[in-house]
Amino acid sequence: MNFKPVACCVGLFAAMGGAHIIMPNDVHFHSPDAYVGQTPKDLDFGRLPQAEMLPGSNNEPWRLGSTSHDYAFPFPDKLSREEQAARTFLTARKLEGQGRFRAALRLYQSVDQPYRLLSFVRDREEVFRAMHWRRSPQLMAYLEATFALNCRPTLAEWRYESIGTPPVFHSDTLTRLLSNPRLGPHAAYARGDFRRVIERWPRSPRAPAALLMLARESLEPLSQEAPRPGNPTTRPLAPLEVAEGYLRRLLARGNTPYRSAALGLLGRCAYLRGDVKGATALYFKQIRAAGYPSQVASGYRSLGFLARINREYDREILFRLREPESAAGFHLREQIWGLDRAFSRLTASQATKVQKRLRQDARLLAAYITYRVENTRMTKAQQRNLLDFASSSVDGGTRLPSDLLVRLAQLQYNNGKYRDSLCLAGRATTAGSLTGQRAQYIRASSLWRLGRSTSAIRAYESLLASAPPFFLAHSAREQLAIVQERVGDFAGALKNYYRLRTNQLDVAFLCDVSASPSQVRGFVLTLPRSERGVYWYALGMRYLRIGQYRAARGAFLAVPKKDRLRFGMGASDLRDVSRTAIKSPGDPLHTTHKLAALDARIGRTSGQAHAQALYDKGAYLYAHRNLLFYSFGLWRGVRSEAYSYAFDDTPFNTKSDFRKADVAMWEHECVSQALRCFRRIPVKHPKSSLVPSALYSSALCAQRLGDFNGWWRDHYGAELRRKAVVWLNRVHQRYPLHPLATAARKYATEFAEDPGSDF
Amino acid sequence: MNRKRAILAGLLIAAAAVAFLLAKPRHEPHQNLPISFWYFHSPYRLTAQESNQLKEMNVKLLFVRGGTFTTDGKSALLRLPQEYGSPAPALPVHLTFPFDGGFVRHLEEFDEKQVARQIQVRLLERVRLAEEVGIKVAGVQLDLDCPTRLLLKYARIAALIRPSIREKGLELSATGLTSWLGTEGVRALSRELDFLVPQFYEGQTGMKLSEFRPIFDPEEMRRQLPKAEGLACPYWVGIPAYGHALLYDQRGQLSQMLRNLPPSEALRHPSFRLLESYPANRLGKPAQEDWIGEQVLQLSAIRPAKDGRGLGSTLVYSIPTPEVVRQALQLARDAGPGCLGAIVYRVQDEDDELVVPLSELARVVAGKPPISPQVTITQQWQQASFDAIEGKSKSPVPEVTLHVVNEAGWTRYGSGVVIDLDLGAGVEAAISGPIQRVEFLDRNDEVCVPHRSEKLRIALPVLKPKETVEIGPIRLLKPPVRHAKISYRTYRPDGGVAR
Repeated sequence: MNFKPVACCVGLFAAMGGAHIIMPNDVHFHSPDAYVGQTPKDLDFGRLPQAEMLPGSNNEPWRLGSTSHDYAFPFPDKLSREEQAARTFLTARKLEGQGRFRAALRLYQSVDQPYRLLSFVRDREEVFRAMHWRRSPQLMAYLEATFALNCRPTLAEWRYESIGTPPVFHSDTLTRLLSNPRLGPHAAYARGDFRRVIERWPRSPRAPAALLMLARESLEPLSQEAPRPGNPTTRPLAPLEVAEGYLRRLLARGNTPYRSAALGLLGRCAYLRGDVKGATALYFKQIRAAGYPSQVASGYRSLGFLARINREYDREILFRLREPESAAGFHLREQIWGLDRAFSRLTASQATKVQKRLRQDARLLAAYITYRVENTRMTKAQQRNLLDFASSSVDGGTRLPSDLLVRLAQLQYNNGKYRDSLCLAGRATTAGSLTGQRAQYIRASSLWRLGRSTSAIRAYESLLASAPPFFLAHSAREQLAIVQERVGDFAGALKNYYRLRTNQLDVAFLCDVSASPSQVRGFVLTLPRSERGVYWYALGMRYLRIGQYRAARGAFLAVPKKDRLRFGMGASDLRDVSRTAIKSPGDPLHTTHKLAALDARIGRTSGQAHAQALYDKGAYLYAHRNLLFYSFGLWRGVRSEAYSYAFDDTPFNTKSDFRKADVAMWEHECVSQALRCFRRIPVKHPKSSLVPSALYSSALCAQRLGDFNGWWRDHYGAELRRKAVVWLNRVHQRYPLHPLATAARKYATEFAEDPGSDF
Repeated sequence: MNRKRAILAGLLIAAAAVAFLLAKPRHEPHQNLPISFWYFHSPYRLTAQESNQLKEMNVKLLFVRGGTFTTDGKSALLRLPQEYGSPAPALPVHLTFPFDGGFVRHLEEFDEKQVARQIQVRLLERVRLAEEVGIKVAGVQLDLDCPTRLLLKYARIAALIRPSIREKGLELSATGLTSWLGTEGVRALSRELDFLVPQFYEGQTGMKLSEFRPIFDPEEMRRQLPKAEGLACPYWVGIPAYGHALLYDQRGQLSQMLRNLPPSEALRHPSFRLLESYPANRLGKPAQEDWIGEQVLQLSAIRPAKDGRGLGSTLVYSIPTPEVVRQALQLARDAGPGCLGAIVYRVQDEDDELVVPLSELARVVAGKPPISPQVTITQQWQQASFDAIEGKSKSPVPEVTLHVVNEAGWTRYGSGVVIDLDLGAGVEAAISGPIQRVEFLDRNDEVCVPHRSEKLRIALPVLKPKETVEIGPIRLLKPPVRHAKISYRTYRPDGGVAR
């Protein structure tokens, strides 16, 4: 019986943690996700993944490609994105050190939000221009010092220590640079001496930034004050006037990159004076002047805040829904919680207003659907209702924006209407990069659901060729592997699971269970030579288990002898995978040779000699258990845990998967193969003198196998124990004078009373 | 005559003296009985909090599982060796080595000298490895539950092992079954040991549902404990602080021990329905005045497991409370002069619900009563406006979410907290949250359909200390005419009402 709680997956977490895999993500072993309470019964990897995810906020299962916020586990995707950003910064820094400033700047600018350090990158651009892109000792000193000053805390946060030694900041360097007319303003700015910048270098490109910082500094004492609707601040207004002075000077300079930020700060000043109307107008100006999505988002956030303190929750919702998705980043949680709060306080009339605006504005509707799908939990009925609402809102509309088309297609897909989702997604695939890529993902998934697997594979491949962002690329590749596996293209599936680098258990499942040995062979040959060892070893084991000794020998010979003794792994790999010393079963070539000889003897003998040959093979397998057929490296040492804790409960697995796993299990265990040999003796040679010994050994095998691990206990434990008792009883009842009869009687009683090793 | 009187008086005085000697306890009870623990999970490491709690209980040494002996039918093999966390805890330890069922079965056939040598080599190797990582090893302990008839063989094996252990300056001890006490075999074994640890728990595991017994039996301990004075060596007393879950099949035969399904999850598991939950007496029946400190929980499998089997099975939990340890310690304090202390089985691994946490054991040792559950419930109202926006309802409907917090103390398992929520308005049927049962009641407290209900009676299976539970949001079908009223009852593990 197999009553398992979700919490039992902790064991697998722990086991895989030991193998340096932080979170099991594999599609065939996905049930640990249920531990986090997120795996729905109808797990569908074809649903559109989301870029950012607040854990437990919706009906979707955790997807590795997404960025999590405040999760209990350090998810590898987030780590890898941070690490990637840190690496990019370090590479750019190296290029700076070589004097390749343009290339360095391009790299700095290439870092994705939210990891890009905007002000740092802008300063770099200004300083390179000021120095005419030429190398000088003072410039190099400045670059080194400011890199340490600005990037060190961020890099440390991104687990920089795993990449290299953190740079050290020396403040003296910046002081020495103050006398340099070109680098002076930058050095003063870096030291936080903003007043000196605007006084000594008023025409420097750093001066607007310095004015902005001075305004911010002036407002600092007021920023902690709690917002009070319509009431001006109770503190002296002097800092406000000072800040406004700086900001007006900044705006008087015409078109600067800081114009939007300055207008936003002016809006804050107006709010602090109690002038909500003025503040609102300024925030709108801020949005119009914005050069970056983050500035637009900041403007709408401020407008949402003003609406909230006036209890205009409908307006707050509409403003917050207009915050651009690309700027969400670190503000996602604030945005979503703000929306949650506003929706929970909406009055009937405000709800009607929101409904009316959503029906009028397609982009707002798209944002609303996004919020509902990605950040709220919905029952199936609610999902249907949302789809009806969205469909009725755009009824008759032919020129819908691509964002909305994609979200409508997503809703149709989630509601199981794949023809409609295919149609809608098809209309949006030509749109700009991310929207078009999302549409392509839904299109591919819809095609797959409609049974058009070849087209689906092509669609996923085309999506991957368009270099989508990580969250989409990861899911697309995973889904592509799933489709390939389901249509029987195991070589393709293996290649894609392998390329994901996060689905080691899926690779193991395919290599060891699903794919045919020839397909595995095809896959191994596509790998770089340095990575083939474990897979050759696994392939050899597949052949060995099914008695194809020549092929097994060939596969094992492809692995160097030292590695053959370590399950095909290098020494460091073995140390990495194995938490405790694991005893190798020896060179598999010897096993191959021995089993081939035993099988040959079985083949060429008959009568009592045949029975003896069968018995000898059974005895060999029984004596040399348990790791004889185990591809330890392939499974990273967690095969038993993966099967025991996750495989049965993973909704993705089909009956065919379970059947294949069952066959593989019987093939894989030495004791089960020994049992097969022993069982053949009473059937083929019922009068042989070896029958009592074979029955006795069969009983020992059955008892041991039934208690072998969680999978065996759950699936065959009781049945095998029962059989063991029957066979032992047969020994002492039919052969009472046999030397094993006494022991058989004793163990028949003990096994009958033994409910398993847990006792 | 005088002489006769003198003789009579002498006889009377002698009789009085004999009566006095018989009536007087043979020794004083152990007021400051040393306490120790078995530490069986892996890796062995102690958090700062655990160290403090052990210090509070004046624990001077621990019994740490060093590995498990098994056999391939010929040799003694060691599996599941202990791993050690860093830094190594400072407490001296005895490394304990359980022997699995397979080893016990083969014990009769083993060559004593050969098996003793194999055990000895592996014991010393584990001692060396433990000392290498900074563990102070004071001794090794064998945990071999063999039949009484094999005790003499066990004693001979122990005798063969002992010299090499002594040579290292270590003590050799063994755990023992209570059924051994008073036999010649255990006396022979005790002559080869520095001390023995009779384990006063799980003397009987019900192989049938009708024979189910709790883990601890105070009567058995009271009866058997004096026999330990007949041992040739001093002894520690093994007492329980753990529970287990037994699964019986449809015929009531013991099928397996369920691991990894804590009782709190079983109570919420869709495949199980609670049959009964009660504080148990020593026979596993509902206790009157004879509670032994364990709670029994019986659940019936109303759905088959994923493999299609299990429908109709019965899952029975023995759940320990600090009361078990209190009663066992009280008995242990009355043990004879040969008693060196009590060892509690076992230190809790993570949040294992079936082991009493160290914090609560510390209270027991200090003689403090267990903490009663301290539950508070707050309600949070909000508007469910999505339906209104998406055209399903005309106006936003109110929703209430209950936040239930238990600051300290355990409730009983099975309806540990029962909440009555008087809303005065009908609700939607589905109520989310980790609840055991919900009843929809009308204004006369009669069970009715959800949309006609005015009150909800929500039972939570259990609340652990520091646990927070969120129930809802419970969506009302219309705005309530009055403010919701909440009343609730919390139950202690002994079945009493805490509030």
